Amino acid sequence: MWDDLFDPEESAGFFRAEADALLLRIDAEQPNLAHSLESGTTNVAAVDAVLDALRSLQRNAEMLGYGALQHVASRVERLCEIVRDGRVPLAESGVEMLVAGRAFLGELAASSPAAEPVPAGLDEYVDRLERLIAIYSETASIREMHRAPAASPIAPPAPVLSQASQPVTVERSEPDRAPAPTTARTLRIEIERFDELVRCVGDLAAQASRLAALGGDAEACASVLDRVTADMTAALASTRLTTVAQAFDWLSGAVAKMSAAAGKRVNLEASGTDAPFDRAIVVEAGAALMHLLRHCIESDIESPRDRERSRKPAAATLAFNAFVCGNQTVLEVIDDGSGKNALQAGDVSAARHGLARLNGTLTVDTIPGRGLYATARLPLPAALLRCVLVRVAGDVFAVPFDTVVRTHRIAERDETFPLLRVADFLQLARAGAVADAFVVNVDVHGRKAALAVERIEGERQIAVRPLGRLVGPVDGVAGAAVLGDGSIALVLDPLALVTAAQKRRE
Amino acid sequence: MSKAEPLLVFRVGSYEYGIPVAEMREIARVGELRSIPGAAGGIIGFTALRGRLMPVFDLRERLGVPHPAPAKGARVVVGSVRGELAAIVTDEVSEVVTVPKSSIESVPAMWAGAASNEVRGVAHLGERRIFVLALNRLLKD
Repeated sequence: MWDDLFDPEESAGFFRAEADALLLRIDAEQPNLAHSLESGTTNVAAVDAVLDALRSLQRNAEMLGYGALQHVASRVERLCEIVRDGRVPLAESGVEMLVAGRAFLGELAASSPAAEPVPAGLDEYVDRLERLIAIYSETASIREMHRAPAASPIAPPAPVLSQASQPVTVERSEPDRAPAPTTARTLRIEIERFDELVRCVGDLAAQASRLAALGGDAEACASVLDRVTADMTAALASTRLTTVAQAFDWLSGAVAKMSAAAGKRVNLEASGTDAPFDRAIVVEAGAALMHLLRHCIESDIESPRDRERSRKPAAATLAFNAFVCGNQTVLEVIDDGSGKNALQAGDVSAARHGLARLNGTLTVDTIPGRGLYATARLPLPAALLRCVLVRVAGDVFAVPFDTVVRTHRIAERDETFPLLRVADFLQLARAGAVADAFVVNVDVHGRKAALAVERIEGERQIAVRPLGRLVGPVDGVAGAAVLGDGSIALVLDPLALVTAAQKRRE
Repeated sequence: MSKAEPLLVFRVGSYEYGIPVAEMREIARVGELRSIPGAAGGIIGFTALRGRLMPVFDLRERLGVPHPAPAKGARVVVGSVRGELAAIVTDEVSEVVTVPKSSIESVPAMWAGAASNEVRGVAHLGERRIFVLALNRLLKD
């Protein structure tokens, strides 16, 4: 959190990095807003994204005493609110104001809060902005008054005609009325309500698996329920998910900008960016990612001259890989820079704190002279996940099905999968002399392990939840789920397990 | 803002604790407890209450006092912190008392051991001493 990092200079650095990420979010929406001008309808999603970014910016600015910045952001926010809530089309003057406001916000964020010099033209800008806000709110109230009841989507009943046989032409009562804005019909709901809904679907799925065990008609009924709950989960997930590419669409722009500013040459290689990502945490996760990238580019990657001296290509490679592992989205950031120890680096700890607030984790490994390898993991929204249930030290654990290659007896083990005893890794006390009799071969993005377990209990759809911020990260465990009989299974984290298996083999 | 703070008071061992009624969801009986390997900070496992998962805290664990695992059916106080639920094991739930906010003092050094991190202050009620919990301090980040 902010309190334990509160060194004013350092905080100002973090603030700038977060502000950069937020301003890039606004930049990303500019083409959409400009498009609104051509189509004559306001792109509500774009305005919402701008509003989100402005609000986060204000919160940060308030915390660190960036008064002028906070004020400008709040006024631009007001303008956007009127555009959104009053359904006032965003005219050219509005877009112009947004662009100018964005430039001022960038300038203010780059200064320090104590000095905060007033950029030239800011006062005039704020005056113009206030005038425009007044005009827009007036327009909004006029539109509100004239919102005709006939604008409801239900068609009025056809007039009853006395001479039904005669053809009639129905006159349009208001031929010159402007068409209703054709914005997409959307519904905003609180995250808690959404999670509650997912939890209910999870309960349904759990009961379906109990029904299935009863056999006969109940079993047939359960298979239908299974399909319905799977459809519901898919529908719910799609409302909450975006892709890594969309969530961090500013990535290549930011890398180019930061490397130019730092005098470094960096080639970005992104892969797997079609992986799903939780829409609800895009802004905060973006800020944390920004810190990490900043560390790579500014601190870890050497200048072109230093790189040539150490016989490296002048241009560094920065890899950004995304993939899904169980109930998490994994983001890898790898550079071939100096690989200096990053444990004390401010940007790295800011990224780690930022991810922790989102129930995520960050591990950073460095090899001197070779580069940096960072893995950020963020939970996907609570969802039904097909898992293989196994028993270890008397308790039930779940292995996400999408990572499982196959399961078999430990005696028939395939030696290309390094063995990892789950009970040893988690330091579980075994009751009696139960031996591991089976292995579950898992493959996460090419990294393999054979997880030794006592028993395999079968395959089940379960509603997986992250461990939560009260429990905090546990190495090897990614979540938990309530099973049909009311008992609780811990969901293993295949990525942590394959990583441990590889390390033990080395 | 009101100047009085209603607290739900419960006993754990020989100490009395209070949790602001505003942060409290319900009093329940703990179901099956599922241990979480490697979980720290006084967490003794997960339990499910009407299908909802929550970590169970034992304040004695936090204090390093030896204690038996709570019996199935032991009473827990369920609190809510930023959308997440936490269950706290109690020996006895006593009452709701209202104390003036100004009477909640910071914890004297001699009681720091009994208090640990999640205690935000101590309220004096006659001879009784009630440690007031701040649930947000149970968060791990």
